[in-house]
This record gives sequence, structure tokens and C-alpha cells, in this order.
Amino acid sequence: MTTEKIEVEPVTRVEGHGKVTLNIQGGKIKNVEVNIIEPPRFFEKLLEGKPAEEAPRITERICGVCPVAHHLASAKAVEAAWDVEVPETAIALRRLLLLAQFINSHALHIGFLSLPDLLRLREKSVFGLSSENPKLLERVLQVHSFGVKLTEEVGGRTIHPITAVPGGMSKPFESERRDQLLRKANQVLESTTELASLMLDIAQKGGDLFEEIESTPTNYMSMHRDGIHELYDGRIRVIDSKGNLRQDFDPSQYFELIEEKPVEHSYVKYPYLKSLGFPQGIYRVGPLARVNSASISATGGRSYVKSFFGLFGRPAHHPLAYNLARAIELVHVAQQAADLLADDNILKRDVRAPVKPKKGEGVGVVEAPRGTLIHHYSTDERGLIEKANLIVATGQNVPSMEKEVRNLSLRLEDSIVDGDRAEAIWKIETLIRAYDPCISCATHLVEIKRRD
Amino acid sequence: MKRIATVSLMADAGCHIALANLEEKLLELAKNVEIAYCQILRDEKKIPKNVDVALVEGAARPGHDLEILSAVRDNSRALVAFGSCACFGGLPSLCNLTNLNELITYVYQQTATTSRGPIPSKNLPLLVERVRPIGELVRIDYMIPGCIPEEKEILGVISAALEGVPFELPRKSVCEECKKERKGVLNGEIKRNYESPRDSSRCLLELGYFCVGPSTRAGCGARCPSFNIPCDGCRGPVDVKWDQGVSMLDSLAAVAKERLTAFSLKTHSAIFHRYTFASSALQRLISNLERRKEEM
Repeated sequence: MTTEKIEVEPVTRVEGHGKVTLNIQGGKIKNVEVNIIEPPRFFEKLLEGKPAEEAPRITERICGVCPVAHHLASAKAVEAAWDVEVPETAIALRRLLLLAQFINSHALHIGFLSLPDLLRLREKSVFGLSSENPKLLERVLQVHSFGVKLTEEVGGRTIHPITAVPGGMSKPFESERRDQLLRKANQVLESTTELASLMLDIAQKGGDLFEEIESTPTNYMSMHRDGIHELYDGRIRVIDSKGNLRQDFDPSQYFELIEEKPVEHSYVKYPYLKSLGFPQGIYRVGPLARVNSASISATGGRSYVKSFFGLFGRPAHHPLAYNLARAIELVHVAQQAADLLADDNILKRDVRAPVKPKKGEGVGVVEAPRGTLIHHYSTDERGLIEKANLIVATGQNVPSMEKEVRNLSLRLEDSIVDGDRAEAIWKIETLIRAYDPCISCATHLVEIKRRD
Repeated sequence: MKRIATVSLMADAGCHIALANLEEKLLELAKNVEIAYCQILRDEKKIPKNVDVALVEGAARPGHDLEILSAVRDNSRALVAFGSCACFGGLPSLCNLTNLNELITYVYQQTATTSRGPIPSKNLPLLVERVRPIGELVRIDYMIPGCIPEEKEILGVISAALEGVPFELPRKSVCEECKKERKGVLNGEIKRNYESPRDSSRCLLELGYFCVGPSTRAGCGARCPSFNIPCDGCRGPVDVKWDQGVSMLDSLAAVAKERLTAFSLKTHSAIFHRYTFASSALQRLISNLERRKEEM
């Protein structure tokens, strides 16, 4: 019998390094795997012995795409371990910083990674968008550069911010910077609604991608505050595939509710809800999970939510719904950033509380652009880290993503085995890109090995 | 048209995000140069031949990383070590202090939320040896340090490498760019970074913080100190021949003996060799000892 192994490597226009392995035997797809081949960097072990106050600047090097989320989850974990009360102004500035991260990360995904597929550009890249629809790219870049600028002004650097320290922020925010940013924020709002309208339009038109990719019902997890969409500080809720509330817990209890299963074919562990076990307990996080399980309060975003559920059902399960959910969130976070910038409270000078290290244990959770991010440290009496545990956003989506890639591959079996294979593989990658996986980076050669 | 390729090895993609953040400047560049391979921006899956300039982000574990690195080297006229991981091993190389088996066992079997399962191995690149700066494995023609590299240096090195002319990095320390006031007096007491500086106009090192500005290469405008945060050395040593951490330890030993000895190597490394452990004298010492053990 003829056997063939197809390796789609690297999956492109994602942040990080994954591949898809398809094994074909006698003209049938026998096995499909999503391999997260990025070598583990062992941050959990690397943190041991490190002064905990350095963790926010160390752990953000896990991810160059969402460093702010790591920076803040880490500061929160240390503060929880050391019983630190953070001044309100510092919390407001951290919220602003996290919103900035969402703005640039979501804009990057929409313009550089997903629109080239969804608009079926001839050259599927930001360069293609630049030549085929420069006006649209201008919108994307206006939003993106605002997010980058805001990250730099509040966080001290465009990537890998420095200002969150256990106890608060290292420096108050200056009013002259605020005024400039506020003007920009108000200009950006219109562009975010235009991008959301475009994503809605694409979803309404549908087409083969939407038909061939199957909806996979799963559980969803996200942070919330009294049921409202929340990114920085709240409780965690899990809804099931029917939309019923399954769990609602304080982030510090996460380890009683979540487990991660190592698998043979991936360097990422597969998280699941302990109460349901694996694989029934797999869940998704990120824009889709947040829009499904917490309500969008800002006026701009809310108007799209209705159309969103109208199209995809409630809860929405279709993986391509991630793209629209992300665009809705973009409207929401840009509005929130503009509101926060207009609030004079962010200019107050009390941004850093005194801190004393102690023996302790703390969990810090925030929503990263790609989903719920958990940092958990224990420290000794000198404040050095003894043990660390991290659950990152993308890992939680990999089990569902793999299931959907498998279903889509079977659906496209004829094309893959003996047809337009390139087109089929593009569809598989478009599905993966909808999740905006952030696998962190390493790049390899693609080869299609034929074994007879 | 000249051709650029960018690859990422063991890193966090931050340097590539810095490329994306160039926005209009990136689009401008792409008008005059073909961006022939860039996994995060384009769909080409095979490292192309006849590349004029290759930017390599990330450190490397010999094995799979080395295969890619060699392919890039063989097909490129000029190779740029892009960012501190590629230049010095970077922050992930701090894991070289722990034995690889122990690292794998911990992450896949022992953390608080891990349930029973296999150690990953199927259809995956093997994990071997230790994390190294790429210059230990292939010849490099240019380097720009930093975590993240500065925009002006990214654009500068690309244009220098395209033209085949040298690219000069600043040859002074972060202190020479720092606006904090120095009085020439060191505080006898050493401070940790959780302590807020009382006088934010003063030199952080003089106040007693482990600010590694004196041994770190300038070019960032002393960004971290300007936000009241001590320099953590992300741009590597002032001179590539220096050991960044040892030179810093040398200047601190006289004033900070007691608190320095209270810490283990795992703590020290994060303060003095946060981005350069893989290329430090300590790494060489550890590697030599291991080699001798194997030979015995």
C-alpha cells in the first residue's frame, strides 16, 4: 500500500513554530496531527532562584507578541505572594497598558495575518494588502501604530515593557503625553469600527471556507467582572458548549480546576477541566471565548455582538468566528483606552506602594490577547522564586484546533490526496490562523516526504 | 532586486514583531528589496537560495536549529545576528544552568497542574545539548544586540549589509547616555529592585541598585533608568570581547561582598548575565567541567 507523509512546515503567518503532519495510506488520510515543534524554553525551571521582583521583566521574554500580558500577570503573581496592595492609579495605568497590547496585537493579526486570506488577495501578505488595498492597510496601520505608541508611552518600550514593578508602576504618567495620545485615540475609533464592519461583512458573505470548516462545540473560559468583559482583574468563568455556566472561580483556585496533559506529538501540554477529564474537558480561550462568555459593555462593540450571535449562534463555535470576535474586541478596547486616557485619575502621582518580600505563594491572571494567562509562583523569605507554574493562552486552544484541523483534512481528503493540495493546505492554515496562535518562534524548512 | 530572508530559532518572535512594527518603513523597504522569506509575514516555506542578507533571530540548540542555521548560512551572502538571543544566547540560555533531563522532567511531569502523560518525542525535533549564541555554530557577518533591538539599528544594519559596508555599534556604556545624576559616591547598602528609589534623579547604581549600565552597550538612550528601572543589560557587553557580568561583578565586589555571597549562581546569573549567560566565562567553565567528567 502506498503511504505518504505530508508535513506542512512551518505553518506561516502565525507567531511561532507549528507544523501539520498528515499521514496518507492507500489514498485515505490515516492520521492528522498538529505538532507544536517550538523547542520548550523551560521558563518554569529557569525562574527558580530568581529575585521575584525581576520576574515581570524575565517572563515577558516568553512572548514577543503579548509581552505586556506576561509582564502584568507576573507582577500580579508576585504581589499576591507578598500581599501587596497596588495604588489605584497604578492599576489604571496597567489597564491602559494591557489595552494598548490588545490594540496592537489584534490590529497586527487582522491586517498582517488574517485579512490577506479572508480577502483572498493574490499575494497573501501585508505586502499584498499594501498593493491591492492600500486604503484598508492605512486603517490597519493607524490602529496598530497607536497601540504600539501607547505601549511605549505607558510601558516604557514598544515590545518588552519595563514599568510594572511589584507594588505598582515605576513612574507616574505625564500629562503632555496623555493629551497627544488622547487625540490619536479618538481618531483611531473610527478605523476600528470600519475593520469590525469589514469582518462582519466577510462573515455574512460566508463562502466555502465557512462551509468546509466545521463548528466544534467546546467549553469556553474567560475572565469577567459581574459578567462583563474584563481583562485585568476579575473572576474566571467557564461556560459549556450550550452556554450554561459550568464554573465560576477565583483565579487563585485555578490549579484545582485545570490540568494539563503531556502528549507524545507536541511540545505543548493539552489543558482540560479536571471535573470533565480529557478530552471532554477541553476548552477554548481568547476573543471567541470572551465574547461568548462575558458581555461587551462599551457601546461601539455591543452593536456588533448582536449580529455576531445572529450569524454564528450563541455560544458561537465556528473557529472563523474568532476573526469577527477579535475585531469586535478591537472596537471595545480602543473605546476603553480612549475613556481611560480621558480620565484625569491616570495622572495622579501615587503609583508605587512599598513592598516587602516574604515567604509566600501567589497567582496572577490576566487576559492576554489570545486568552487567559496564568502565572503562579512561590517565593522564599528573601523573595527568591522557589517554584513557578505557567499556563499560557495558546496552549489551551491547541486541542480544539487540532480536532478541527483533523475534521477539515478529512473533509478535503480528495483534494489533499489527489487534487488541489496547495489550496487545501491553505485552507487548513487559514483555520489555524483564525486562532492567532502564538507559538513563539522557530523556523524550519518545509518538505513533503514521499515514501513508497 | 536584492533579497532578504529572516528566520527565527529559539526566541520569542519579539525581533520579528519589531520588524512588523516598522510599518511604513517596512513597506518602503519591500519596494526596493525582495523579502524572500519571513515566516511571520509571508507564506514561503522553504529557505531560498541566493539571499543577500539573512536576519537570524534567536539562540540555537545544536540539532534541528543547526540544520536551519546552516541552510541559511549556506544560502546567504551576509548573515546578521539579530537581537541578543542570536548574539549572546539571550535570556533563554539561563536554562543552561540546569541539566536538560531535569528541565524536561520538570516541565512535562512535575509542575503543579501536569497530569500523567508521555514525554513529547513523536514528529518533533530532538532536544539536545545546550542553548548557544549562533556565532558559536556558524560565521556571522553583522550583529545588532538588544532585547528588543533599536529601530535605528535594525534599519541601519539592513542597509549596511545590503551594501556590504561595515556597521558600527556604539562603543560606550549605557551610563554615558544616562541622564541620572552621579555624585561619585556609592551607597554602602545594596538595594533590590522591589525597593522604590527615594530620589529618582540620582544614579541608580550609586543608590545601591544592581544597575548593569556600566558594562552594557549604549544605544538605547538609557531607557530603563529613565523610567526609574535599573538597566538589566539587554544590549550585552560594551565590547564583544568583554564578559558583561564579570566586569560588572568586578566593579561591585568591593562594595557588595556580603549580599553577593548570600546568593547562589541561579540568582546571580539573572542579575549579571541575564542576556549573555551562554557566552559567559561561567558557561565555559561549566562546559569544561562537564566535558572533563565525560572524559573520565
